[in-house]
Amino acid sequence: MGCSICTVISNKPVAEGLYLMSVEAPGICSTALPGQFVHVRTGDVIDPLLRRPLCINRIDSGNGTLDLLYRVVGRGTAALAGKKPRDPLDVLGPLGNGFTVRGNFRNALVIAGGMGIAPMFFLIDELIRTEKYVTLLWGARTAAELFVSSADFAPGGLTLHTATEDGKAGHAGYVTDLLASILEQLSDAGSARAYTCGPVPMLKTVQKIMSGRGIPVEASLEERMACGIGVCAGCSVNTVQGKKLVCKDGPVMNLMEIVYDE
Amino acid sequence: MSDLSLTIGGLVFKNPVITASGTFGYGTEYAPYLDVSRLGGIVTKTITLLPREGNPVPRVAETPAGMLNSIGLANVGVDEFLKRKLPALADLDTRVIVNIAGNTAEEYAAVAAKAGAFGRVDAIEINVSCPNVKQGGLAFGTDPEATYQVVRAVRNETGKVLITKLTPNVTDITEAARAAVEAGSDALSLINTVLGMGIDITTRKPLLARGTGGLSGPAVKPIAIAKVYQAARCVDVPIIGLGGIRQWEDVVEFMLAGASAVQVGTWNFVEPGGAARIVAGLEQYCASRSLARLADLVGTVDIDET
Ligand SMILES: Cc1cc2nc3c(=O)[nH]c(=O)nc-3n(C[C@H](O)[C@H](O)[C@H](O)COP(=O)(O)OP(=O)(O)OC[C@H]3O[C@@H](n4cnc5c(N)ncnc54)[C@H](O)[C@@H]3O)c2cc1C
Ligand SMILES: Cc1cc2nc3c(=O)[nH]c(=O)nc-3n(C[C@H](O)[C@H](O)[C@H](O)COP(=O)(O)O)c2cc1C
Ligand code: FES
Repeated sequence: MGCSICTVISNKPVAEGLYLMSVEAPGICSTALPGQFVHVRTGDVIDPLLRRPLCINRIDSGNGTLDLLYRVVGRGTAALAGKKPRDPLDVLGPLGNGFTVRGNFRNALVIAGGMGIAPMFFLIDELIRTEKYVTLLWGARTAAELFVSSADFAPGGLTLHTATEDGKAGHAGYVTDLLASILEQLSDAGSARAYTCGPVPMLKTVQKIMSGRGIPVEASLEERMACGIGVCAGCSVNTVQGKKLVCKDGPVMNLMEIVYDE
Repeated sequence: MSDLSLTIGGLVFKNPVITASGTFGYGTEYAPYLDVSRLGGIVTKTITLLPREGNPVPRVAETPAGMLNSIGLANVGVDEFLKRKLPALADLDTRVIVNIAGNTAEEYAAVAAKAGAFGRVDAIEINVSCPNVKQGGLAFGTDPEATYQVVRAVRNETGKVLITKLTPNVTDITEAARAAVEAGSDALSLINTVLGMGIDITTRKPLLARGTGGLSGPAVKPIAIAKVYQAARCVDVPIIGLGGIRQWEDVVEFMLAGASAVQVGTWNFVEPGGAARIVAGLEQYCASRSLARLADLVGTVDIDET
């Protein structure tokens, strides 16, 4: 955990409005866990004022670089999109907790919708490294946003199912449409864990479909943040154990314990 | 070495840089990013008699050069604070100020009595200025008589140094300032957040679930400077200025307006450790200008009286 001025290595669009930035940050890379996030200052300015939380998308520990995958949705992310190689980047992190990767299970089911894919590449790398069978259900708006394939991961480790809202690749519709049938096919549900990240309606659907199956489901959550380290109490989320803070007690939490109001 | 120290109600602060309530947790959260003992003091999150979970989300939002919050005084409650949070501050070489609030004057007094029993608590800051709770808070701060009653009730309970934190959401801040001092406050801190609101024009929803909230950050600094200037001219106790401070130059500006010390709030979120950098900046400023005592700046704004 620290705050440091890192260096942008590359920063390129991978699809319309979707950027992949590589940042040299050996200190962060040496301790980061999949699921953790960083809190980034988008410039040495007072407007926009606050840092922007972004998941650690992937890590290259050999080179000490981390990737950020982000969609340009406002002023902060637009400023990030303007960064060039060798630009400095003020990065606070790694922050929050991570996904459970270790443990006595064989099957890992990863359900990602939209920007929910952001924390999953790092997670999948680690799951494959620890010899889990990984199934990724990836939903995106367009085919162009499905910019990596199973070939981009260690051989044999990943089975990929896709869905697009425009119907140009994979299943036409939502990724959660695929979930029930994938669960039926799971050979050994007793030895499975699930991981998910995406918009709230998707998380609610996943919560419904997964309920009563006895498969632990970890979700990476989002909430408006100021400090990112558990100080301002801004990022609160309702759970069965009362209010918790996404930045400190999460961003990864037990999806089954999240209380969504109707 | 120049002298950066100041005294409030007999309590010596080694430098004027204090971290503000609600932006520095319970004092240890930022320890990985700065040496807390570099600071003149720290103020805790507002502590209430019972624990509070706060308001629904979203309860923070960004605005031009600032932010809105409607946290709603989420805190662990005074007993938990004294048992589990305060002990962690034992070895810090900095002043510990506990910020308190209540629904009634009696509740303020009860929290003050509990906190005042601990030696590690150097001073108590009375929050009569939170815009984010229904009862108490701002309702006390906008009514000079109610301000007087709350401060009086606390004064009767504890011999600790008392600082009353005032709201800018009034027409004339000097009324509340005088009331607090008459009731026995040793110092005043100002400003708490400015009542504010933002609306998302696409969804027609307010940026904060609760609608209105408190504005802070660089955007409010000129408001804070004016309030400090007005308050400093009407009372004889030290003023702690805050609102939008992010660099040592801002501290000097607040001191010229009449502040003896300052607090750094929202900037902690942007630059963890920024408060310690401001201390270093002030040291350099004094050294480069051969200023023997930083306190000599207080209230020396050069303004033509008309
Ligand atoms: C833990 C966490 C991890 C995230 N990881 C990623 C990621 O890997 N890739 C990615 O594209 N996005 C991610 N997001 C969302 C991302 O933080 C926002 O898209 C971004 O802050 C928008 O900033 P902006 O200035 O472009 O938008 P604006 O709308 O101009 O931002 C205004 C304010 O709202 C906040 N905000 C806006 N949208 C969100 C949001 N969805 N969640 C939280 N705060 C928001 C901003 O931080 C800022 O304070 C993550 C959010 C969280 C909480
Ligand atoms: C997220 C947040 C929480 C706050 N919580 C409190 C609080 O609990 N008690 C209090 O007296 N002031 C609280 N404040 C107000 C600050 O202490 C300070 O008065 C105000 O933010 C102006 O200073 P700044 O511009 O440096 O932040 C809070 C401010 C913010 C931004
Ligand atoms: S963002 Fe401040 S507590 Fe989570």
